Amino acid sequence: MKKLYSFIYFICFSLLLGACIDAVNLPIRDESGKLVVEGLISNAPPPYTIILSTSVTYESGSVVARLPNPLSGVSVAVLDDMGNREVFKETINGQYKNTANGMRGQVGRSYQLEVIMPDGRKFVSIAEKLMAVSPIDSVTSEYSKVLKGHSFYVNTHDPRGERNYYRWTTYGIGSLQVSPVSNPSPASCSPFCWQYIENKTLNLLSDEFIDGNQIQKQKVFFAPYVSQSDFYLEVNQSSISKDAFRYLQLLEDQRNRTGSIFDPPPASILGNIYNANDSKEIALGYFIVSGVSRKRIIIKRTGLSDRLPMPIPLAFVGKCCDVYFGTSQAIPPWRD
Amino acid sequence: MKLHFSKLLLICLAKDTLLLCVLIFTIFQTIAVATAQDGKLVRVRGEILDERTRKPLVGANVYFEEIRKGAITDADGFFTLQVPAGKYNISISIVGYGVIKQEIDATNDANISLKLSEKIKVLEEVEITEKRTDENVKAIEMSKIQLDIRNLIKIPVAFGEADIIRAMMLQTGVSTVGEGAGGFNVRGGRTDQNLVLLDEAPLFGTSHLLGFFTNVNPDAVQSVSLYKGGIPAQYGGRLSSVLAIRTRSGNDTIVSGAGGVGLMASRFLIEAPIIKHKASILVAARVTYPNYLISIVQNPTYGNSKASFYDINAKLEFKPTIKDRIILSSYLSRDVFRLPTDTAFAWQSSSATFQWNHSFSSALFSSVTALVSDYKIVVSGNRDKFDYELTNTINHKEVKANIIYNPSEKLNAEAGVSTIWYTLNPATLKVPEGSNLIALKIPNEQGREMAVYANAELQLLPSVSLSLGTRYSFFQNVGARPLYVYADNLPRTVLSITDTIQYAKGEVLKGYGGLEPRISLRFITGKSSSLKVSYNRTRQYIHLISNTTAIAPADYWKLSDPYIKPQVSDQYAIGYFQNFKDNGLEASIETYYKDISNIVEYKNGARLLLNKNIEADLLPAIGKAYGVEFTLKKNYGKLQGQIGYTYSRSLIAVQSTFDQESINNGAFFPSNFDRPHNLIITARYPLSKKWTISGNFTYATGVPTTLPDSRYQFSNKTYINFSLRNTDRIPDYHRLDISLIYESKSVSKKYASSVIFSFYNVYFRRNPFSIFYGNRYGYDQAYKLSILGTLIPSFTYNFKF
Repeated sequence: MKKLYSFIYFICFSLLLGACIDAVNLPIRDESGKLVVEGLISNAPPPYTIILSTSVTYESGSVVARLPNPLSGVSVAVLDDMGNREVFKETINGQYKNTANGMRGQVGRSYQLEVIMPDGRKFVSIAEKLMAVSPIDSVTSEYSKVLKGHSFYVNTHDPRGERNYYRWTTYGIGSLQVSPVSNPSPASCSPFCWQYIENKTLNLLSDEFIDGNQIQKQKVFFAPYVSQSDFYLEVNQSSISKDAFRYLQLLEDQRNRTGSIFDPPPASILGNIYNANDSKEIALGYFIVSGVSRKRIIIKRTGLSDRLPMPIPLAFVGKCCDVYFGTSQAIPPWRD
Repeated sequence: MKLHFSKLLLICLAKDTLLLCVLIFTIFQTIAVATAQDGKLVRVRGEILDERTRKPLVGANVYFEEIRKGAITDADGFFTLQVPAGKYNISISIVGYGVIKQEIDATNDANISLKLSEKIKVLEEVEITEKRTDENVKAIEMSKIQLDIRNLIKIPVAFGEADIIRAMMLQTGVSTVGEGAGGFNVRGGRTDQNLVLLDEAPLFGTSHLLGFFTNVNPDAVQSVSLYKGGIPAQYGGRLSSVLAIRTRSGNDTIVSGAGGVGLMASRFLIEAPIIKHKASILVAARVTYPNYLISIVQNPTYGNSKASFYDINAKLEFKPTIKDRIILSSYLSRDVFRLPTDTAFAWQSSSATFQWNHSFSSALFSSVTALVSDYKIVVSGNRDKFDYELTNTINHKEVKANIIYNPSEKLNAEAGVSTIWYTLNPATLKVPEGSNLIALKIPNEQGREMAVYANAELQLLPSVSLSLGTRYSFFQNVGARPLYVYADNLPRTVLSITDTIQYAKGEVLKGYGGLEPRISLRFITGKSSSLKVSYNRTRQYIHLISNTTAIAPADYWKLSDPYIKPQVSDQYAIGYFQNFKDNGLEASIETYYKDISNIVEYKNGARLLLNKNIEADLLPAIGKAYGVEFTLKKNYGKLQGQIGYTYSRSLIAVQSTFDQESINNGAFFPSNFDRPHNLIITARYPLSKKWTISGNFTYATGVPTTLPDSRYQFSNKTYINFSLRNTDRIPDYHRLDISLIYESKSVSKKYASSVIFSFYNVYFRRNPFSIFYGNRYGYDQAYKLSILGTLIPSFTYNFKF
């Protein structure tokens, strides 16, 4: 409940107290070193990626940024219910991929992950069925003068009589108009600098209170209006299992915790991967099986006033585009 | 009287509860024996009233000087005492009033009515050198707190609103999870285990503004008693405590009023006779304007929050004869809280009580009560295509009757029956035309709870008194509603449903019942000391479904059903009470132990709202609580106050036959409100004739929390793993509050006023309410949230006419 957060802020601000939130440093309980799995198989074309790592110590107030600890040298394979088994090869440290012409997810088939650790422990996932997902009817956008940007919405139809769980992943591409004036090193500047923006929140929906109805105006993205260039948006609408939905929902809830009276007690979030010889040992993370439908749109952004100022460069050296972590490479043809 | 007992008898036979019957007959017999004994004694029955307002005075001390015997007036201002026939000099006193002495003729049974005048000035009040009450030592009751309503406004509070539940939290054994949280915890019990009665009607919500204030206007309150243990047999239905709030009756002689203006709210009360000395009315209302505070906030994001609340109390009293008193009391409280985002909460409590008290003689009284209490919460969402309105309601209807037989000092017997009808609407989801959402209704729950009780207080020896009673309660969950049947050998989930049974209207799904014995013993151990022991069992058939740290507006209540068994608690308490300085200094030590079964707990990641299969997300837990409470109270001299220290634990365990359902491997772990050490000091000191300074200091161990085990990366974001629950604690809580009170009275003595300057959290302590965790750019950081993290000054102006 983010809302309560605002209420508490209201109480604080209304009394002119300033912030009521302080950083604290607490003793550490260290139980790191657990297997973490992030995997996804869908009916979109391969390759698919399985990311393995181990959990690390939570060290509040640490001045050293602690990065995930990738797990190398593990045997990773995906199995389907037809007896097929495909080994995923480690491409970069901790990332395991199949090939572009390898196994592709099919609606109605079940998939299972198998991970054999260097110490011999074998982890498997609970087999999940790849469910079809309805196509995206349309993606619409609305410009808000208050927020100074475009909100994007998905419109679709939910099939009646079955439980459906949705997840939307969205990214957008907009061009920053890098002029020699705003550019620290004009010599190496191309007129286009494409910036990729990802929607970082887990966008989830259950059809429990919707079943068979339309799903309209499901917000999937917000693009701040910083440039008059066209804006490219890709929306992926995925079906996920009930357990995956619950898992991701709990992850999202954890990120939304604000310490308010509305917070539920913290608890471990159990995924679908467990030790084949000891079902009490449950790995962190989830192996998701999804049906995907995709929609791409382009919107024009001319003729609007109230443009936001150019963002402050994130780096101060490098080429024109690098300072914004963008790319001057052309966008591929934008089709569904 | 015979009729009543034969009815009881029928009920016992019907329920086949031999023990209860034996008990009732024992009481019956004792009554008969006691009645036969007195011959040369007479009974003096009296009513003590306020001279000006004619309202009954509770807790007045009536002292017969010749025989050194005394009595205390009850909640209606009455006392009864058995004395040898003769003439007496009696003195009557109560804190805040003068002492009056009077000669009375008690050669035969006598009825007297006496009036005391109120002393307005604080200074006089503290200088009264009357004989102190020794009720704390002599009464058989233990674990009971009587709130000093007259001094309530002097307690420093945040935002300047006098608050009865906040004041209770300054007593031992009463605690809270944190500032701004609704509800209170008594001796390791949950917030839903308190029976809060407003003129006998239970309140299901006790908060305004999401928990910052109590929703009962203190101006309208006559008395507040909290039973932490040794709960009288008359009360039942909740495990941990009974908070009995009685509202004032109107002045039946002249029109008078009172009110107050504060930074956050204004209050007004008016009382007037309808028929002089026979019928009166009292109306009290409180409205708030927190929106003014919001509007001065410059931040646009938060400046659009809208909050408002009000509450109204009204009471009609009618005394058709000297022996009858009829009361009609009603109450309404409403809150709206609209967030700048798209959600609004509205919650409303309302109740109405009709009560008829009749005295057959100076020894036999009866009371018949009919009441209704409603609670309603509406959460509305306002987002295009996702608009909704979610409502949940409780309706509680109750009829009860009791008789009290009080023939002598040595016996006080009481018996009664009650029936409650519950209708609960767990959730109704309404949506407008064109919405993505589909309207939904979770089926209503209906239940009836019946109880019969009897209790007798006997003086066995001059130094030993016994209070023996029991309550038999019986509950049925009735249709119409569907019931899901789950496979026996699997954890209950939606997938293990094997069948659905539709129960017809009035058909019983499941019944539960049992005895609730209540026993107290008091031994007088010295001139002003006593030892008290008590045991009581309580049962609870209605449960609050809330998986949040504190009570939240979206929480709802649920009745016991085939899956949710009633909660049962057994409490054992022992206490030693000693007064010094002619009862001016009261000391006590009490210790208790409690066993609780069938507490409602939640599976990891349970979804509570709009869940048709809620039983699949719930788990039964067991609890235990124990503690020691020390209190030292100084009632004389200029400096008055209290020191209370409590050591207590509140533990819970979730043990399931299915490994994945157990929490912390089935071991006992601290509950969300377990705070072992708790120290509270309150003090009051008159600075001059008009100025008084008052202060509180509170210290409490931090509430339990869970620290992270480790963190991990998923989908490019950082998450934290918590494998255990409540294994750690947030930092300790401490706070000092001070208030300055200026009281004045006009020359005409018709108008009195006071101004209170309150300073909450004087030394700017940022007490943590909770700890939460973040990770920014790979750096871990824990944060603490302080709700009232600074000094909060406020002022209130009160008046009386």
